[in-house]
Amino acid sequence: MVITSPTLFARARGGDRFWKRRRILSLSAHYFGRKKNCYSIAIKYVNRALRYSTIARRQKKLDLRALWKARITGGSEELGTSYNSMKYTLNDIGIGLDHKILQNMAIWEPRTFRGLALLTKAKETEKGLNSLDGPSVSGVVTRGML
Amino acid sequence: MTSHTWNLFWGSSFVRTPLRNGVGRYVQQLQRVTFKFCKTHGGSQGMREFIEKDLVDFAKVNPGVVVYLKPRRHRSPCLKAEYLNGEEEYISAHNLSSSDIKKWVEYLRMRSGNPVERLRKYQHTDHPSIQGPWTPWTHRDPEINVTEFPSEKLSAAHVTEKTATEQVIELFEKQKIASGSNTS
Amino acid sequence: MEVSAGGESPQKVQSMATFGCGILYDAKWQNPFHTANKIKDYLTGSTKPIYHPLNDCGDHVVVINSRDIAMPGIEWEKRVYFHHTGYPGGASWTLAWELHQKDPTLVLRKAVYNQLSKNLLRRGRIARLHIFPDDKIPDSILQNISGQIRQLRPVPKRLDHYSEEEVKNFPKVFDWPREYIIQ
Repeated sequence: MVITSPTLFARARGGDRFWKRRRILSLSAHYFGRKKNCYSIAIKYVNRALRYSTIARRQKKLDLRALWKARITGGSEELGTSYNSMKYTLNDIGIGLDHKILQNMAIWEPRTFRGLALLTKAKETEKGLNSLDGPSVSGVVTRGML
Repeated sequence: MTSHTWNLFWGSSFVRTPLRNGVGRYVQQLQRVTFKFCKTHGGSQGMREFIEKDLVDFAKVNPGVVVYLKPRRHRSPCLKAEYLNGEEEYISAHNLSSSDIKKWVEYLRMRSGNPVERLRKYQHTDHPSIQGPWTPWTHRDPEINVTEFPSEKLSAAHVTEKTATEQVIELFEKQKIASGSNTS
Repeated sequence: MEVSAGGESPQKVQSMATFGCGILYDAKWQNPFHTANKIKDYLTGSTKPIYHPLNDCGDHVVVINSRDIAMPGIEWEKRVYFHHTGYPGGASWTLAWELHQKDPTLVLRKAVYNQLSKNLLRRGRIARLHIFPDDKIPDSILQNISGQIRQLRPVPKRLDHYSEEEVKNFPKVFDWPREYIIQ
């Protein structure tokens, strides 16, 4: 009688240590020193890098938005308005430009941005909030004037 | 890991098609699709539904694609696509609904076998801005070219309220005008 | 529109045009802490739409008349500046008025230093701040000034700085009668 069940209990496990380590070491190929070649050291730094990259996905959006806001503030303060005034007034008028476009305009299309800032100042002047800094609002025609 | 590292790792290339596909005739790059699923496990439910309903239509619409079905016990379902240039694409379909699998199959059908890389451009410009980029003097009054610093005019604070002195002077002027008109 | 003077490339002209400019500020009778809040924006480059914390886009700020700054309330008597030399027994507490006597630029400098963000860029930014206790600025700095920051508080005119004509023509609410003898 041949007993077959004990042989069936034997399992072939693992045997893929090389490939598992290769997966990690391929990600640490640009590190300095033993961190790039030795698995038990590299695993720590690769895990940290992966952790940072997961956190940074959200953080990048927040950081860029803060930078855009700072840039729009800088550009608008130079022209005599403020970030809040511009955002509120442009929203009121119906100009739906977002932070990214506005900061791009402030840098690469300064005359367009100047036009928007003057429009903001003209609209605020209608409300009674006169601005003393920056270029004058003489050329702007708003709907309230007509 | 930075996006720079990521892009270096996965590489970059210009937009390309194998053998000018589409310029003359269009040859579908998908060679064969393998659907691996389990006949009983719950994770393959969506896959089984897809096979029952949409697979035959897919095979009829794409006569150039060879469709293989691999029912394997105790394995999670997956899609494997092989392309004419030898590249393979593997997508796990575990716990996906049949509509999801349909979308992934459509994705595989549309692809050429070229790897997913950052696409580079042939265009370059030295002047990305028509109006010219911002400089500190774009919005400055040209008057500063001829002002002597320190300038009192530019330095004086903006006064928004009338001081008491100014109000007194105004009253005085009004009185003067009134008395002047009275006498004249 | 920038024009290259010596035939430089447009990129170089752009970078030369965007280099930090010198900006003047008259600190006469101004609150040093409010001015510090304004000056820090110019030093960091926050007034520019090309701002980035790592972009090194700050301007040079030249402050004059720092001897005449005006702190609010009883700050001159009560504000204390702490300093430790690092050696044992090297702690010293200096009142604001004493510090101002020793070095009239320090009060404003410390105010700006404390307003800047507390990172490694602070040292570079404070190095671009030039404070002078009075009106005298060296010519090399004066020639590079291309703008002026507005003061925050209006400076009233001193009574002895009015001319005789102005005093004579100023409207009088009351005057002594001619026969009245003032003893």
